[in-house]
Amino acid sequence: MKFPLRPYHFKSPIPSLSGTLIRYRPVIPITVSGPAATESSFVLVDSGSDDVVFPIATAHRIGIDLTHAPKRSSRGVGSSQGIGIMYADVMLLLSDSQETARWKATVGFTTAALRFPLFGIAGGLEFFRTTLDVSNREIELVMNASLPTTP
Amino acid sequence: MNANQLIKQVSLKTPAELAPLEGKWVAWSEDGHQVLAEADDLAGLYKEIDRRGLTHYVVDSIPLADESFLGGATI
Repeated sequence: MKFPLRPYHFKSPIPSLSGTLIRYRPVIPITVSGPAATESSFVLVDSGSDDVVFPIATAHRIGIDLTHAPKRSSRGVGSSQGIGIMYADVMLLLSDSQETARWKATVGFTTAALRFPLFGIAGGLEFFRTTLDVSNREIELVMNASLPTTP
Repeated sequence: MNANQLIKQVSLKTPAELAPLEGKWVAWSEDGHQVLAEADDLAGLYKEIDRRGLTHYVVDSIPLADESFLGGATI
């Protein structure tokens, strides 16, 4: 599956990009399903995130009961404080209209103010060979044999 | 939803069009042509989605225009 990178316009020149005003980010749409509902949302593909993580509002929306969910503490790369992550099973779906991947994954939900839901390694990127081609402004995710496909 | 079409269409939005939405959560139409709802946070967006009776949409976050990310530090 191939997705174009999304352009994000900046007001001031970006020194690390020779003064350009645009950053291209791997932000792609994903569909997440729970017992009560299905939601589609853009997520940031992030190899620096150990898990797939959604805001807690998404858990409530799709009917995930986190009352007895396993909990762990995590932190962002630059964060000094840990945040709580609660884990639950969902169905995830990625599609570029040529191919579709649908699988059951254990993902995290957090009350922390995420800028974007994160498509990280466990439950997400672990099932794909991922190529980030910034020069051609696209990201490719090729399904691995390990992807736990469901009917 | 055609993901590539959606991405391409939302990518056409100009900085001027997105400026009022910076820092907000939005619900795009599935073709990416228009913003159907907006709110300051995701819970608020879901409330607005329900208030408007929307059923087909894609949730997105519009970052501030000069905000860089550090990957896992988007928390």
